[in-house]
Amino acid sequence: MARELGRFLPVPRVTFDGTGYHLEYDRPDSIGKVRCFFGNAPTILRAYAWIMQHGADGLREVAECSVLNNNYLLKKLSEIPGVVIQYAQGKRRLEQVRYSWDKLKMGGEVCRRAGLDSLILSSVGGRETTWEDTERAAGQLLDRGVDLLLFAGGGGTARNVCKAVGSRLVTLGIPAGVKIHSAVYAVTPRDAGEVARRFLEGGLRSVREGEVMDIDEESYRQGVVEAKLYGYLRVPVEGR
Amino acid sequence: MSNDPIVYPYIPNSVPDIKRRMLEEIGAAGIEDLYAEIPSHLRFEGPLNLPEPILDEASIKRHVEQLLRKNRNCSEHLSFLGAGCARHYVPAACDEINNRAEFLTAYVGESYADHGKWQAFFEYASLMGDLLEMDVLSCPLYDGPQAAATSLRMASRITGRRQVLLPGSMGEETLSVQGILEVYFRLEAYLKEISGLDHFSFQPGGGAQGVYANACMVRAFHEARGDEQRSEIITTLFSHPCDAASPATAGYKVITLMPDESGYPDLEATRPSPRPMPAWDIPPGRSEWPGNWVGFCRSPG
Repeated sequence: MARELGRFLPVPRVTFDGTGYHLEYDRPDSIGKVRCFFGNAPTILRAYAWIMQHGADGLREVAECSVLNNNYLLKKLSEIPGVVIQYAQGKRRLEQVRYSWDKLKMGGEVCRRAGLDSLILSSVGGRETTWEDTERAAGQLLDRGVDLLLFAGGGGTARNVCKAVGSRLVTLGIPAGVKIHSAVYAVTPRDAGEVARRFLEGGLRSVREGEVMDIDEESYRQGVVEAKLYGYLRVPVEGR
Repeated sequence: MSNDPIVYPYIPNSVPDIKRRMLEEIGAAGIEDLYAEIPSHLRFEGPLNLPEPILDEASIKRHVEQLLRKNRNCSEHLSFLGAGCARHYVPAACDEINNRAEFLTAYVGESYADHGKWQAFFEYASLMGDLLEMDVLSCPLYDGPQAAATSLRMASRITGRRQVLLPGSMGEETLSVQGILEVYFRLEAYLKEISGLDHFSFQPGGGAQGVYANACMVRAFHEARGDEQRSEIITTLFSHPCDAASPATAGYKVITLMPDESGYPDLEATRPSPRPMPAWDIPPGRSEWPGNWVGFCRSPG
């Protein structure tokens, strides 16, 4: 507090009369008490012990190391594709930096444009996505324990999701691929949205196991269409 | 620093060789380079006037314990003081649970960085709701008086009434705790030295409560000068959310400044003047500078 604000400080103030310490309440201009008793004593004690253990040089070291650590982290994080450092380009930071995934054009961007809140779990940077990314993302959603895993794609995507989560999550496919043989996709993307809504609102309760089927691409190229069963995913049943 | 640098055990990367390699990695010649954005007139030069440090851990422990020994405590004495303060035995299981790894985080342990804590809050609030037969519960607050203050504020908003009846027997504490009071007294002196400020208060229980107390004091300051027009407090988009929330709780209207291209809030925008505000920082519904901003308080001269 600046000097001018001194007489308005909350009570009690701790005073010293040369022999002992006292709690002083007789301060007519004070804003009064803002907390019971006399503040957060355990934290005050830690702060005191910290200062006593470090002294003037040590406190300078605390400040310098925090700034150094932050700038080092800034350097390392800025090397990750997709990480954007906000504001004040090219200038040194002190102890804070704002990072974002601003440039990502994956699901996060789609959600943003649709006006949906999203939590981005991982990034692929600027590169093309692969089936490993699908498996990794499905695994992360499994770890999060989501109510419903919605995925968009075709036969390959269903296989990736099946491999990652098996029957441990309820899932639903949004048909968006070139070959759809699996019984885990809604009929249209709009239907997928409708089923997802009804499931999440509690209108659909039963879940069945749907076959995850895909054709063998190698034999397909040789003119043989042959679908193979890769496993099962649990999908909501539309009870009409 | 002396020629033989001290490596501080609780400061990450305080080892000189590690610091040198980190500086190399980020392309800085020295630590000073990293402070380039702070103008020289805002920097503190020279040594801080603080006591010599007690570097070894055994001695700092002894120092603190000697201070606290001057407290008269409820472990050794029976307390009949009352006033809402009674000794509670906390079973060892509570410490054990609190110290579990899933409750520890690298950051300040705030719930937004720590979703396990959210779940614990949620379950706790649900159980308390069942127990107390209440429809709505808040996240846990600091303590009973904090909860009472919050509920009184809510009641005041619902009824529009501003007076509260309290029993006169709710007295002030007169605890005989010389040790911790000495810690308060000394810490205030050290923090004044470190910050260059004239006063410190340790009454608030945390940062947000400190901002609340600050807003109340700024209002008291202006009212004491006969100026009761100021109803708005300025904060920035980058400030901690409590910098907006706490003054709002204290009854202020909050103005949030947006950053300019450099990332800094436009300090010109905090200077009351008759010029029209640039288009980007006009709060909704305003066309020019209002005359009722609280502004920043600082020592004249």
